[in-house]
Amino acid sequence: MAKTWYPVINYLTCVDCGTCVVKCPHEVYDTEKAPSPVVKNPESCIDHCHDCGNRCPVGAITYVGDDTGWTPPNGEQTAEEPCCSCGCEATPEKKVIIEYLYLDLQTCDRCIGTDNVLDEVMLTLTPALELAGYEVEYKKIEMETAELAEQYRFLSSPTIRVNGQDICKSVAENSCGCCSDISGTEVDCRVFEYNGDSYEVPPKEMLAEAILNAVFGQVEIGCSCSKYELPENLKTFYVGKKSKSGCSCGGSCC
Amino acid sequence: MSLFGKKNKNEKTTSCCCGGNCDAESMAKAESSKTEGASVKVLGSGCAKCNQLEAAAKAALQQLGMDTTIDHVTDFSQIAAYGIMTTPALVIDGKVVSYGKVLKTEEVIKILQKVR
Ligand code: SF4
Ligand code: SF4
Repeated sequence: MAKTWYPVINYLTCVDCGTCVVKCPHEVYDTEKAPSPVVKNPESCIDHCHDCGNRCPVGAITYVGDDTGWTPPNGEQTAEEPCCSCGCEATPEKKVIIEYLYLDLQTCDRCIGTDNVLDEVMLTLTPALELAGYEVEYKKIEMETAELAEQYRFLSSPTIRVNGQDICKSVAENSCGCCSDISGTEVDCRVFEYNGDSYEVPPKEMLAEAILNAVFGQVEIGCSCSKYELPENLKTFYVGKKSKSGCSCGGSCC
Repeated sequence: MSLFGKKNKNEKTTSCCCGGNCDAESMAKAESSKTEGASVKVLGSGCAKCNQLEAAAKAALQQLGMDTTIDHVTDFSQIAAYGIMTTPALVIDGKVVSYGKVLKTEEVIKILQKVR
């Protein structure tokens, strides 16, 4: 019974998608006129419901008598169910989070090498991205333990993620001498494939291109995080690292 | 589902706060005047903006060949009865279809075509 609360459609922005008509379970809208939204039974509208307005893709709905300070979520279609909870889809528009996930930066040539290249790339890209109005966050996280790796859904070392998404679409690995030494077992590390060649340490162009593509959305990288299990390869690493850490040097004695 | 329907009905019968014999007389008047008078109303204190809106609405009705009678509601208690917080507002057939905006003639035409 809302006499002074019901939707007012801005027909100049409304695109006649019919979402509001379909979504309102209270017969506020005239279904005969659908998909055009025409308020037929304003009395049936539920006070402060906002449901239709929250769903309108173009923010065309406001409410008579709204005193809540609510504003239509303009143009942004809120996904009803996020595809996963890893946060990869929840990054606000103008923020770039670069994460570098690695196994070791003391001994592993490949991790250190990639780290250096990434540093250089970031040194050049950060000012450019900031100039474009982006906030840049650059994080390096050592995947010290198996728990941490699982938490980060770590797939392969080293991993570079832009806004939660791996810049490499596939995981290709070959045996890594250093990491094998660290753990005392045979461990594979990532190889980066770029322009038909494989690199143990990725070239600068590759990283720069991948980061920019990820930021400016030219590459659709699917959400790869629906299922995760610590890869066997990494399990081996952590098990091996643990058993080796009895050594006085804490496991980095190779 | 039947339960739901019942609930709805109940709501409807009790939905009017005064039922026509409410003691707050001005309230009842304001309520009833919502359904009386011209089907197109402009709500607003009478400033330049609502006069502009009224003119646009008139032109729109004319172009569509509809009855051009427009009520201009300036009484604040009546305006408040619509739940309006920002004027000028346009009311068509008892429903607020726009508020806080001075619409252009074409815009009013578009609204009229949609809601009628
Ligand atoms: S606010 Fe809620 S009850 Fe009112 S029209 Fe929208 S969806 Fe229906
Ligand atoms: S949801 Fe928005 S765009 Fe879609 S019909 Fe309703 S008012 Fe128009």
